[in-house]
Parts: sequence; C-alpha cells; structure tokens
Amino acid sequence: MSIFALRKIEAVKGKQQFYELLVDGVSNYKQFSDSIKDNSQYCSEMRTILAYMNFVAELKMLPKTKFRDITPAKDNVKEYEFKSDHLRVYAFHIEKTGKVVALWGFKNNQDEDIKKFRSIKKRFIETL
Amino acid sequence: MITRKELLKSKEFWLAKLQTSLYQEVEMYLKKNNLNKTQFALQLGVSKGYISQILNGDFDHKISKFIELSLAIGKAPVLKLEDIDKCVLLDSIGLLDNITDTQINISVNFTKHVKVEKIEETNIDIHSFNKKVPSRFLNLGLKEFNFTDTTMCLS
Repeated sequence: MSIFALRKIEAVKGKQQFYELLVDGVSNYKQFSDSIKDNSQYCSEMRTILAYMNFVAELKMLPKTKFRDITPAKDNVKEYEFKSDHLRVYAFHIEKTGKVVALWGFKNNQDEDIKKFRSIKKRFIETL
Repeated sequence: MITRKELLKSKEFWLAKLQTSLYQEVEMYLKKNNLNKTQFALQLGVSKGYISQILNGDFDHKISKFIELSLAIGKAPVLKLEDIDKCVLLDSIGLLDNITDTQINISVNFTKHVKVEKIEETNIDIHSFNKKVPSRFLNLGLKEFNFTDTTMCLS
C-alpha cells in the first residue's frame, strides 16, 4: 500500500490551496520538472500551467481549452485537466483541502496518463 | 521546480494573466449583451476565428488590436508598468492583485508590522493588513529594497 502526502505548491497562491501529491515520498511534479529541464518549450509551458493554476486558485474563470472538468459521470470527487500545447496536468478536488495535483504528463500520452491518474486518485481516496 | 518568485518574473505568467483577463471580460460582455461569437465578430469587423482565439485564451496580437478590442467591449485598457521586485514584494503579502486597482503605500518599521494605507478609492480593508511581516518579506526588503533605519515607503 502506498503512502501519500500532500505538499503545497509554492508557486501557486490564492483563495484555494494547491498541493502536489507525493506517492511513497516521490514527487511526480519534481520528477517531471527535472525531466523537461533541458527543453525550453516545455519549461515555458510548465510556467504557463502554473500561471493557470494561480488563476484557478484565485477562483477566476479559464477557457475550457486551458482548464476543464474531466470528472467521470457519478464520481463525486471532481477531476480537472490543465492544458498547454504539449503538456497535460491532472488534479482532483478534496473538500476543505483544495486541489491536489497528482500527475504531470504529455498530450500524446493523455489516455494512459488519465488511467494512471484515476488509479492514483482512487488509492489516495481509499486512504482518507 | 519553479519558485513563486521565478513564476512572477516570467513572461508566461503575465501573458497568461492578460489573456485570461481579456477572455473574462469578453465572455462577460457577450453574456451581458446576449451576443454570440459571430455577432461579436461582425460588430468588430473581424473573423469569427479571431474571436474564438480570444475566447480560447490565446490572444497574442498587436497592442492596437488589444486596445480596439477593449474599447469595443466598453473597457479602457489601463496598463501600468510596475517594478517587478515591487510586484514580488506585494505578492508576498497578498496584495499583487490590488496593484493595478489603486496606489498602495506600504511602510515597514521596527515593530516588524506592515501597514497598508489606502490613498485612493479601493476595497482594501486597512485594518486587515496590520499583520506580521513574513520573514521572506523582510529578507527581500532588506536585500533588494535597502530598507533604512527609519521607514521606507513604496508607492
């Protein structure tokens, strides 16, 4: 069984809190960030997505092309996707906590990443 | 990983902020006036694709277009260039969004309290900002703003 932890995302600030999800002490956000550090386009898109997270944290509206609800029908834990040209970020919402960013990935791996994200989310919810 | 300070100093943050603001204003204008994209495009004399671009948060055109669009939705595009370190400082005490709305005086004194005074019309509650200065604020202030023994005002 995995051990989960939440860590505030320092770059995001607003009325709503944003956390990254650590699984067994491993931060997907950090891993992803390290993996793209030599690609200026991806780094730029990562900053753009963090900017979008800030607007969501401030409860501002974003176009559906940047941020959308991907919650499956009948699921009461809301799921969201942040989008840039090449990157996708998956988060879910925990009442009285805020948005939990569970997975960063690429557009071309979207389907697989969503499956992975939902599996992480399910395991996390079971621990609550 | 990207720090808050790095993010605030990035072009991506400010571009996204501008694009999002424009998107919000246009969305509200369309709702208020019960217009669809096609009607709004006709009103402006631009293509429907151009309006879609704005509503997708992808506006990245000439300043003249930005002004034209702002005026078309009944808004004046008031732009203000602020010192980026001042923005980082204001952000650390939760006042970044107020920077464009009003002029704010911040003073730091030996009691390590921040006092924010409104000097123009604003919705800031003066008393709610009489709080302790976060250590990062003091560090930033001492390092980058060269606070003196008395009081330093940023305005």
